[in-house]
Amino acid sequence: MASTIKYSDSTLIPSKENKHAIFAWYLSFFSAIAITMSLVFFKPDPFQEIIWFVSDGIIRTFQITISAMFFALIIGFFSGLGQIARNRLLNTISTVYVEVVRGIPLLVQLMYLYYGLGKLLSIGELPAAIAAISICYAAYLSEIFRAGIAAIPKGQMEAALALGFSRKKALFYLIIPQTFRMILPPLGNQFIALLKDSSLVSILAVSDLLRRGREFASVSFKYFETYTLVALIYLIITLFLSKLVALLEDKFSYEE
Amino acid sequence: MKNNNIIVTMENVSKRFSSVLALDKVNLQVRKAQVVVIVGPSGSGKSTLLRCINGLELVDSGTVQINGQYIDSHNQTSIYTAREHTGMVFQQFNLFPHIKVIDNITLALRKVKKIPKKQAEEIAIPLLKKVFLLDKKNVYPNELSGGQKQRVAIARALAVNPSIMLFDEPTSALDPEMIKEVLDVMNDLAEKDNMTMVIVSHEMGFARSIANLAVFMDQGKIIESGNPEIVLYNPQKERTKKFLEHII
Repeated sequence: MASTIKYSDSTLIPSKENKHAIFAWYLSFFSAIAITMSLVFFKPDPFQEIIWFVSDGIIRTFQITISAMFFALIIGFFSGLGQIARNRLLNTISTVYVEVVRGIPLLVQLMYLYYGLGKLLSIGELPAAIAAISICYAAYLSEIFRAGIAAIPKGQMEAALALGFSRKKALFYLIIPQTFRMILPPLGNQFIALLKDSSLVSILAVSDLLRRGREFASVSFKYFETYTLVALIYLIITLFLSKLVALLEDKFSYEE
Repeated sequence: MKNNNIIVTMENVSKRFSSVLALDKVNLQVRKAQVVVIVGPSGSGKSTLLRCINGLELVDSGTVQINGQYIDSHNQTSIYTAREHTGMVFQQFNLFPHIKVIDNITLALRKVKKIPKKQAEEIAIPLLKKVFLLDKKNVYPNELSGGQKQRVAIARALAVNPSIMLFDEPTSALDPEMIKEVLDVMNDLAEKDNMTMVIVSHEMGFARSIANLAVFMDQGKIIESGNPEIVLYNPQKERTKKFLEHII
């Protein structure tokens, strides 16, 4: 059997055992904060002005990320159940959905939903943006839910059935609660990836962090300063979230 | 009249897994308070036989009755009924790792039988005492040794008040020094509680001391069954002799 490599495909979520990763995290997080602070304090013009200008964009970015993650979790959860369903129709629908959506770039989906369908059905840019991201990420989350459920040993379901549980009840009370602990790290990764991908909505004229930066830069012509700050803000947020996920993972794990 | 004493009746049971005939026209009757030990080489159909008794596997042909009620493959209710009457203990314990020991025992009572939490715990506490693990009530399964896990699994299976207990190689995954504590609990069940049990096991000494019926299986067939002293120590069939020579 071929061996596989382990790598992180998203922001690094530092785990306790990996001292190098933890050091790298501290180094990047606190450097990013230090650089940002010193820029704002020692060079208020233009950095303070930029911060003020893009601050509502930060809020919009969070709005999009959190609402898209919320819908993606719901759709992804049911789609994941569909992928393991014994019902042929449900199974096919879910699996086809996952395959099709994962095969199309998010940027194309955003354009399609807003300029293609959105204009036909007159959907606003913000709902279109959130819908496109939700639908796209739900497909990835669906795959995580499916894999998580499949990773629970078969004996768990058998023990539940032997105790008189129906398949549905066993899934609800025993299998899914165990799954959640297992899939917390990949879910956290997806949340962070979603936050970064939310910057794509700036092409739909949604005033997120990147879009606000672009607006400021195109008026002030301070491209270098503006994009430096925008990048730093994204970095600080994602590094903070990756630490948060690591802490959550620690709290909910029962392995030992 | 005589039916009251019979817990399990299997008649002409056959079960096929793709190309393998796991059970080949098996007949077995288990009476109340009887302890049946099934031995045989791996792949002989012992576990499948056990799993047909509580409907974890459904038979291809033949019939299975528990307490006089047939398990009908097309009738989910009949399968649930069978599982209400049986408790099962697995080789790998299969405890639920995300909930405490006490909840492992009470969950089926609460969620399947709809018994309130407090009453469910009143049922669970004496069972934990019975397996000598009352002090482990509030720990998670991962903090237990293999022997302790299997004793919790026995308590969990007993909680739903089954009329028969099925043990699928309950000591095969245990370190040698932990086997005895599990066998002792099983012995108590047989002697003090007169529990009806079907045990798949390789512990010959234990089988001899606890069983009143020994069954030897090979290639999906029951080759020989009867008094354990005879089947396990003085078998009449060549195949049984050969098997016992290899494992002792």
